[in-house]
Amino acid sequence: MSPFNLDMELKKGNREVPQQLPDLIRIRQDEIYASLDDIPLHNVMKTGKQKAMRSMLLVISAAVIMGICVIGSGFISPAMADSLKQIPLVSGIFKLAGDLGLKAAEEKGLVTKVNHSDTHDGVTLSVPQVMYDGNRVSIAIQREAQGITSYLIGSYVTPEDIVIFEPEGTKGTLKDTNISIDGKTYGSGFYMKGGADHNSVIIDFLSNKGPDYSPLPSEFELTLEITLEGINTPYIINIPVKNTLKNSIVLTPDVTKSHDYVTITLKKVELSPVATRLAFVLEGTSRKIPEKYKYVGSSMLSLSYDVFDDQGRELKELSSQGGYAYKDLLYEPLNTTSTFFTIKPYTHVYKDKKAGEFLFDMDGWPIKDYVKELEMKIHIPEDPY
Amino acid sequence: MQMELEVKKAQHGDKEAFIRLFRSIELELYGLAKSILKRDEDCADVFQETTLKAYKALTTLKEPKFFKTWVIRILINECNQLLRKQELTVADPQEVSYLPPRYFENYDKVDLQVAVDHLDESLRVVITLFYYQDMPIKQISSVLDISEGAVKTRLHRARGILAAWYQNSLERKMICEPI
Repeated sequence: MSPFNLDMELKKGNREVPQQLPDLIRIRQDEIYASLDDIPLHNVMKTGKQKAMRSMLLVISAAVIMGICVIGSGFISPAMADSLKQIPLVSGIFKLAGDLGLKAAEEKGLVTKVNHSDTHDGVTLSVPQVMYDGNRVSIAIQREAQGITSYLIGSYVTPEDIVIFEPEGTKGTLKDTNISIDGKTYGSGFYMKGGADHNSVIIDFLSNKGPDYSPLPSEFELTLEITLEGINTPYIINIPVKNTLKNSIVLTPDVTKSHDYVTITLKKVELSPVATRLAFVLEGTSRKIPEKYKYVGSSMLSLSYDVFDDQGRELKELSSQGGYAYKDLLYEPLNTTSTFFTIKPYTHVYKDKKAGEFLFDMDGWPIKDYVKELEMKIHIPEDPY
Repeated sequence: MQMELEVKKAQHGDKEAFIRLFRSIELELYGLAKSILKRDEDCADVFQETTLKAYKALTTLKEPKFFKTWVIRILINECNQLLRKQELTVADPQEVSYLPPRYFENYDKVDLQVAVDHLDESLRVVITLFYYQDMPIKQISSVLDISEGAVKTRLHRARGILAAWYQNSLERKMICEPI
């Protein structure tokens, strides 16, 4: 049989799509649907529980790796947006709406001011700012349109902490976003969050998607292809991007810690004024590893990592990706005066592990079970920058 | 777009929207689970876990258009988990070779189906997704969290094994058939 025939045989091999579920499954499935009423659906979209959202997200780490977009902490209230509308945009979007890393980048002049734009039907999309430090690419997108008041990102948070989505198809909201690097599509592994007002959005992604991908070069051309609701023609914006950071410091601590048959090795640390990047190699496949280290229904390690500076200040996690054997984490930048930082791995405490439901403390944060034996203290050489 | 709207509704607590969504992909999920697990009892277990997990983690899904891929991914993880558990328990050999009667309606198909069933789990899943679910390589790569190159390699290996298997069965047939 030639390979072609084999293909044909395989393709027709299992084509009989069942017309209905077997009774056994149908009955059980209907029971499950009925039981959903008793199961609380965490409204993790509320800003107060964003940490919970991140953690819940890790439960479905698969989805993270797939590269679903994560709406970060960039939501701002309509009231604040209104007040912002009144004043001219003195500072850039990064400074107003970015995390500590982007704010620092803008202050330290690491942000490239560009002004590439595209206009259709009287609506202009422009990219006023780009930041690339070798690890992280951030792009600010600005919309200018007379009479359009919708939130570009398609949602906002009310002062009551509730996320409101713009109605489906609201004119001027993002419908589809594609990113290409030097003509090759990047895929979907980017993060998106609301910018300084209803007219702006920040897109964020890592230069290194994982071990199977080669990292981005120090200079490249980025193409944004954006479709807005209500406007048929897609916006195409080409932006030259350049690594503006010349002075990041790379440490290769190669520190290994083992406990409960779990071994983590910190291979690389990259410190910059914009972010702190940690690259771990994991060994967590032994069947002897206690259940608490695993995701529900998966043999993948479920370890999260908190990072504290020498003053005990927690660095906010900006993004994370990983698989069975590696974990690549990006945190806010360390203070330049820091002499060391501490990495505290932890597992989550579950209310109902099988159901993947975390136990929360009084303030609504998931309770963490720190694994002291896996803790690492990393010293920073003097004046790293 | 309809599906994306439903996902958004479900994320904001509309249980009916979730049920409508899940119902719309039930048959596809069943076809996939069945091709990996074979037994309806196992499929039912995996369905239950997948439904509950998808429901509870729904608010973490930020790209509604990925709903189906996301659920398929949960389902495959659940199937793998169950297979691993079964490996650990002493399996009834009769159960292991169990094939539903419909496969025996067409002997050629049985042959190929048996061969697919005997593939290593990692190869079988790729074959199932590619040929039976019509999933493009790129999507398989994201569902299984392996590179597109790895998907192609596995497909190539599986095809090689299946072709060799078919060749052998052809020779066996020729030996057995009366001249």
